Amino acid sequence: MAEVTSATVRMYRIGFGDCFLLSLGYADGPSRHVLIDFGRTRAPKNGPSTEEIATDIARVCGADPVILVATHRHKDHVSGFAGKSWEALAGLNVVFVAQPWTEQPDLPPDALGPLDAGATDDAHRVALRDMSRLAGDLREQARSFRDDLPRTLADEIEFLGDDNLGNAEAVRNLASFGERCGYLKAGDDAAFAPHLPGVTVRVLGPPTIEQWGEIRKKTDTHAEYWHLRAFSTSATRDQGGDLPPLEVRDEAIPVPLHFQWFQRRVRAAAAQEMLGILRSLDKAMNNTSLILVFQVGKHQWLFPGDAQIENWSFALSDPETRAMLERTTFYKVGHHGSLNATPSSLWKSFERRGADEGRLVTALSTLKGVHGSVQRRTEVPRRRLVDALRHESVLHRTDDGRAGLCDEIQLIGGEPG
Amino acid sequence: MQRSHEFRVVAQDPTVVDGNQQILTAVVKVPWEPLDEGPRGHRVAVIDFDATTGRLYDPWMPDPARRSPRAPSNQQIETDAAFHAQHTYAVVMRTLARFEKALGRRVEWAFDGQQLKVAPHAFRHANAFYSRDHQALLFGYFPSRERPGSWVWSCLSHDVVAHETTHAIVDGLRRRFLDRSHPDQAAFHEGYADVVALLSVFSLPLVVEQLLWKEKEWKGEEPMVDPQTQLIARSHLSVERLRHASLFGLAEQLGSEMSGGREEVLRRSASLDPQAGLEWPDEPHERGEIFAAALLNSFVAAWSGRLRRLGDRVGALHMSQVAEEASAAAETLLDIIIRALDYTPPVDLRFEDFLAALLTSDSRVRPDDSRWSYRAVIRDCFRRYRIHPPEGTTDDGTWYPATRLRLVYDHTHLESIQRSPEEVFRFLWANRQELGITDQAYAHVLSVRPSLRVGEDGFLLRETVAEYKQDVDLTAGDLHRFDVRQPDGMPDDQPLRLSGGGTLVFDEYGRLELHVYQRVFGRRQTERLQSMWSLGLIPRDLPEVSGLLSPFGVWHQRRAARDVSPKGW
Repeated sequence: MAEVTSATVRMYRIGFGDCFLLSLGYADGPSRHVLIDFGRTRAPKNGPSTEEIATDIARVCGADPVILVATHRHKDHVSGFAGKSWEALAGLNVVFVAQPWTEQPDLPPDALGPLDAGATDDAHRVALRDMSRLAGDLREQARSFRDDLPRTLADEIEFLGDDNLGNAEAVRNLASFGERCGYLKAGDDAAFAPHLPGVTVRVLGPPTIEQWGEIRKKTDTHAEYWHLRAFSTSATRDQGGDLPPLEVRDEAIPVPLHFQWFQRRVRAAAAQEMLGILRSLDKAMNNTSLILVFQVGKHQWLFPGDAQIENWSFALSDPETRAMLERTTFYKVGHHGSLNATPSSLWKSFERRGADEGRLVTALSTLKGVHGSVQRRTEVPRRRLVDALRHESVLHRTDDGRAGLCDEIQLIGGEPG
Repeated sequence: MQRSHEFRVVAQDPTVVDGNQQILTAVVKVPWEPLDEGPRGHRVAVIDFDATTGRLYDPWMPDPARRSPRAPSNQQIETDAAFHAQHTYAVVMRTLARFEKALGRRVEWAFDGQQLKVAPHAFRHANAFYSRDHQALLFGYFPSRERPGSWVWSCLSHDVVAHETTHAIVDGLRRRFLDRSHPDQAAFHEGYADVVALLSVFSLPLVVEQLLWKEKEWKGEEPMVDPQTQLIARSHLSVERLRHASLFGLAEQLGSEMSGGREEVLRRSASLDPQAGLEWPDEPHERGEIFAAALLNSFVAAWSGRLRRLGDRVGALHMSQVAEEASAAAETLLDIIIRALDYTPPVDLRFEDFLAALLTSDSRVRPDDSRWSYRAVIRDCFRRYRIHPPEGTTDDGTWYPATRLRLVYDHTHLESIQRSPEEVFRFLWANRQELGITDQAYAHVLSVRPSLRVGEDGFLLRETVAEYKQDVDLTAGDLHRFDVRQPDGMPDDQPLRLSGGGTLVFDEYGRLELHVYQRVFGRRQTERLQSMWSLGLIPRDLPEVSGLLSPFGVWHQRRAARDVSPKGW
């Protein structure tokens, strides 16, 4: 069996987004690389451009086999797979492209429903596609009366709307690899085997609808993840682009001054409604994330994308998976350090947390002040989580103000992380 | 002198039509008042602003010459903004008037103001909600998927408007019911609003007639209504068949595009068999459906009981008569469940508390229930759903009277205790030990309101209903000192805010009749904490104490420093 003699993770200082290049060296044969996500919604001040990052990735990879992983389609994970940065990656020797099953492009672009009426997975995919369109609609609506909204509300709608817009070019570019594409669900552990000798890759998520149904409690109707059909059904997609057929107020009738008081509040309420929808869409999209575990001997590296509690619930429902995760040696912090993406039970289970020797290594790719609010205790990265990461792990973070293209974290060979 | 306005409203929603394919409408009366354009009155102001398009729509005008015709066409109903506005106003006002009639007083809103604003076309989304912060009911609209080219206006769904209005009213009566607490409390708000909305629909005989007429067949039996005579044979008036016709029938009619989940409430109420091993879900909507099922089945049982007593020798009843009895049963049950609110505790409401409140209030207003046995019917239905009166109630399921307590009324003034929170607090303070109120927590009187009812002798009796709340902050590790068990897995340093409180009912002489008290400590608090902890509803931190210096502190500092400039140091 091929022996992995070195492993390095390059965490690029991309800003609010993810770009991780896992490079594996072998005793015999070329190195192999896994590029796990490449995207951002906000660049760091004086930080590298995505072109510069792509150029470095191309330099590191050379002609070696490369696996591309897009854990989910949020802009801050896929924007680099488009535009000039994609052009800079043109020379990569891509052998496999891994995406979640929700991205499978079986459906015609204009499909309103599943190919098979009973196919809930197809319905899910249709709904996800509608969601991207809805996100764009909502963002445009909010922009039209932005001046009437509290700034934090307007900013969050802008951020979520932007992040959830479908990145059609990136989706096309990734799909262009045709048969080299794999659309994975929980349990598709064999997918990476032909491309990464000496490495076992476990796929812990996302579950399909059927898989989820197996463990879902009867009473669990909370997860908006599973109400995508309702959202797409009620989506504000224009049907003919018409305005509602109601007569407007006669301009000759003066508008009472007191209306203005209420109009501002209706706008704010409408914006809060939009934000609620966007948050649900965002969470649903995050929950489509691939959750990958790379195992090499006693080393175990966890890359969960932006998976949130619902996606994690499926993975953590299996006692064997929970036991396996306890042995994690490297953890890519989920969702840029938001609280919901690192379940407390998962964090507490890591055996190497706080260890004197062989301490857990963590990597946090994030940027402060972009998402959430300190006042509402939703800031990303969440301070309490960061405190725990600092005290109980060897933490590498991209928002520490240091210059440079990336952090190189040695996982096998050389000095430990 | 005019006593009422008449408005034409959509009876259910625009998908429900009569035999001539006309959208089913009804004329309703609301208390008269001078109205401005909108309509805008002293309690409700309709301002038809659409945030999505930025437009103001054509308002309803008080000038009769400018109003829509009395019997609008389907087209007008669907597209006339002024019709939508007056329909929405009428349903809101009708619901409000219903509550005020049952309670015998004006109902305050939960916000600082007297006019509830209503936007019938607030935004282009499939949602409708009440917002305390915005002092408003906001109704969305969206293109219909089931009827391409048409639109779904949530403001035209009679039950949606009544549901949201009920949230606003209950919030005004019991502001603390929106606090995080035991799952029953969140479920109650939704379940109760669903029941009020649905009973409001059933209280229109026209609607019930439609449901009966459309009940063509059930379990292989003949259609319910004879098409020639419009009579219904007694054999078709079993509880089961009435339940199917009314609850399931209405569920079928509620449009799936905008039923707000009430379609599911009705289906579950029609089909849920409590004897088959009922699971109590934690999710508020599902939990609320069980509560709603108990009440809606009480309605059907009461309706059936009324029909049974209508001339046993008569082999059949006219459809209109059956519908009238449904309307009467719905109206009475509405009165009963509305009055019950005054007798609920102000915090940590459980379904069993509402049952006790209902039985207590109804036994005081209608001591003689022998004619229709509403209380027995309700109690039986709740029992089947495993909801029983709580500890601290009599064999009748009513709260124990407070008259057995030895209370001190020295220095308490009758006139003052009927309106003043400070006077009520003085009474509480003087009697805290006898009332069993802990002095480990601060108490705060939330409201003092009159409640009028007609006594058995026909005289008007005035009660005073006051709510108070108690809060105490501590950490989880201290719970054991106060007879509260720490939830499994909760760290000792978890900060907690425990709440309790009570409802006091004083008679016309200012004597305490009832004290409905939720203890700050004890078994129920243990249950509340455990359920909130397991559902992840306990925040890691308590709400922060304001770090801002009060304006008075700022001014005094400046004076001390002899700084008289309007800006800082």
